[in-house]
Amino acid sequence: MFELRTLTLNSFDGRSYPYHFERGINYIEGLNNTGKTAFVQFIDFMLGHDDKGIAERPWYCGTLKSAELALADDCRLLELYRSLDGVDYEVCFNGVATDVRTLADYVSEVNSILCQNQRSLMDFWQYVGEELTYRTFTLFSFLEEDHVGQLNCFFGKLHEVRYRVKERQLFDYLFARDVSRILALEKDAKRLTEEKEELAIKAEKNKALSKRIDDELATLGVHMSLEEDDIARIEEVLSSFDITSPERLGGSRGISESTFAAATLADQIRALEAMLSERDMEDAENTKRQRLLARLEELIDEKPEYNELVGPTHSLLEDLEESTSMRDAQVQKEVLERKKKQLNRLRKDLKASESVLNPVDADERFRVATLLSDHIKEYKSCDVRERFEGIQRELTDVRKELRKLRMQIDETKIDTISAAITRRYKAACESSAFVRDDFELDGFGVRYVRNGNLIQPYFHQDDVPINYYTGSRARHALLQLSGYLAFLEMLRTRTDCPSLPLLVIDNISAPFDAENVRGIGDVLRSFYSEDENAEIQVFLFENKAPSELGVNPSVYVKLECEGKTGFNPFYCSGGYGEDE
Amino acid sequence: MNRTPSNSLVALEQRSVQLSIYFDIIPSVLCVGKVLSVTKLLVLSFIIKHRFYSGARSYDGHAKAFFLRKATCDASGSFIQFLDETRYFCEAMLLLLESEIVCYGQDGELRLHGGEPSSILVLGKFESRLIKECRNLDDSFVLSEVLRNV
Repeated sequence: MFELRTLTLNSFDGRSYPYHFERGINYIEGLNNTGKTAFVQFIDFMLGHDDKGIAERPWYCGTLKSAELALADDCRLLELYRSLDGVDYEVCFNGVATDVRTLADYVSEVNSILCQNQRSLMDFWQYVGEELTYRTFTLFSFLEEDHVGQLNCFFGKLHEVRYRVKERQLFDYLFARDVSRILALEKDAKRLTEEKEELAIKAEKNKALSKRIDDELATLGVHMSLEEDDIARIEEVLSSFDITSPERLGGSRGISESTFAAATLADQIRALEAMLSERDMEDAENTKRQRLLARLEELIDEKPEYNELVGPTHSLLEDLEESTSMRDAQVQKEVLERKKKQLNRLRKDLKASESVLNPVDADERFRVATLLSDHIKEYKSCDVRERFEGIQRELTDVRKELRKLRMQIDETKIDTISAAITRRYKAACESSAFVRDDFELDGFGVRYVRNGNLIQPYFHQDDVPINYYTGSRARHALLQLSGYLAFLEMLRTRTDCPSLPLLVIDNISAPFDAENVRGIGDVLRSFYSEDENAEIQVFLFENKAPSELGVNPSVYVKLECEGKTGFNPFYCSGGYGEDE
Repeated sequence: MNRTPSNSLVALEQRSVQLSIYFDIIPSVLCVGKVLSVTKLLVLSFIIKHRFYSGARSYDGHAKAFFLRKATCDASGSFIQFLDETRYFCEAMLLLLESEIVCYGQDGELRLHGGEPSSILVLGKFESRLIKECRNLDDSFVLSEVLRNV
């Protein structure tokens, strides 16, 4: 896993200043107005944050030209170069520089290097529906001072819109119950949709053909249609026809009988048409509802983040279908459909009867019969109705299962995270009185709640878990730190996520008193007591000495020291006021 | 040499024009309506856009009641256009959310983030009354009116 090794600042007059980092805790101490927050933001900037106004800030303007960030693991070295004016970028991997012209290229290049498994990354992208990079995962790596002590939506960066819009799909992925099944279904849905589109073209062609066949059957006076009769049955009847004999084509009906039947049929048609026009209005409304539903589904399929936006409207439209009036309309529609079919049949019969009443001459009949035979052959060669309906059914089933699976959360993963948070928080018992008090409560624990990214302490009363609400900001800050560390542990084990194993925290000690602040050191010690976490870097930016927090850092940096007044060593006058 | 723009260029131009229109209208609607559901915002934005740009205005600010019914009837026959424009509405909404002009309030409803935006489309009396009327209506009723009349 990559870790931050060196951040080198370059001035306009050719000087350089390096900050060195190591595994474990990197402790940066500075008084107020020495650029701690600026330092935190600068690490984010070097990791690809789009900070357009950075070059104009008084503490950089005219002094700091560019910076280099070196990341490395046991056998790889990644060097990132970025100028503050946003003009020059360079990504150098194991000594080989890549041509990078824009910030997007820079992020994309770094992402491809950080990605441990290209195939998993593709699966991840397919799941979330867009190409999320390690940038999105920086939300797990930065806790800025403004957000210290928040338990509701406890990741500070989630308060920024650019991260919030990606929250749903990212956390759905992290806590999905069966990602591989979902991905397989996605692939199926894509394949079926393509197949369906191909078949739809063929079906449309066949529809036109079937209309012509029905017309030709009617011209010959055959009371059959493709809608009602099997193609084999039609062929069988046609094979026994004598084309030259008009009497046989009309069946056994006499002319006067046919005239009467035709008149009756016409009356029936008029009555049915009147009935149809009355129902048209309601029908149109329902069709519109279905079209709007289909449209919204199409938009959601195209871009999953629209789900949050138009999901409520979609549900509302579905509910409209379930309402009583719509159910009634559904029944009426079914009746109407049957009547429409009946009407169609009657019309065909009428046409067939008319052809008996006004028979066409033998030559014309011969021509129609020849055409009919050709059309039937063509129709049979590309009859896709059954396959089309089968695919349609399959696609509906796949989509239903997909929707259901995407709603399911893996409770085991939630339990693991919750247990990790409780474990870390408990470690602070040694120094912190309020943590000791908490664990004296019956069955005290901490639970991570997926909806709203909430850290919820609870205790048990008569074996029933009761949510525990406390107002202490220091307690919240410790719980929040435990939450961040628990997520870092989880991400460490996932090779499918292009995340960086680091946590940058700005002034977390602010809400604590002198005794309880040592709880921070306890939590971090407990975190690093597990060998697997040794590679994760924690950056603490504080105005207190490390000993006050009970922290034993690997690297200690004091921002104001001989020859410099704060983070930017080339900036001498003034402070870092805006950010502090 | 005369060159006619390609289809893709025309489509891009059309998309940017539509997005700009929705980008203006949505904050204006929220400015009057304060907090609105996505459903209401979708319907109101479309109807008001239609009133502004198609010239279909049978009613003005003198109308007394049933603003939604009158407005949807005014847009009668534009359902396909409504379907097409849901895409532009969604795209504009995402942009507005990302640029923090609009944000989610409680219960997932939408509101303006901060105060009134600097440039805003001035709505007429009818439109303002229509928005105020819709604020008190049920989402499903608003949708039904669109399905029935547009």
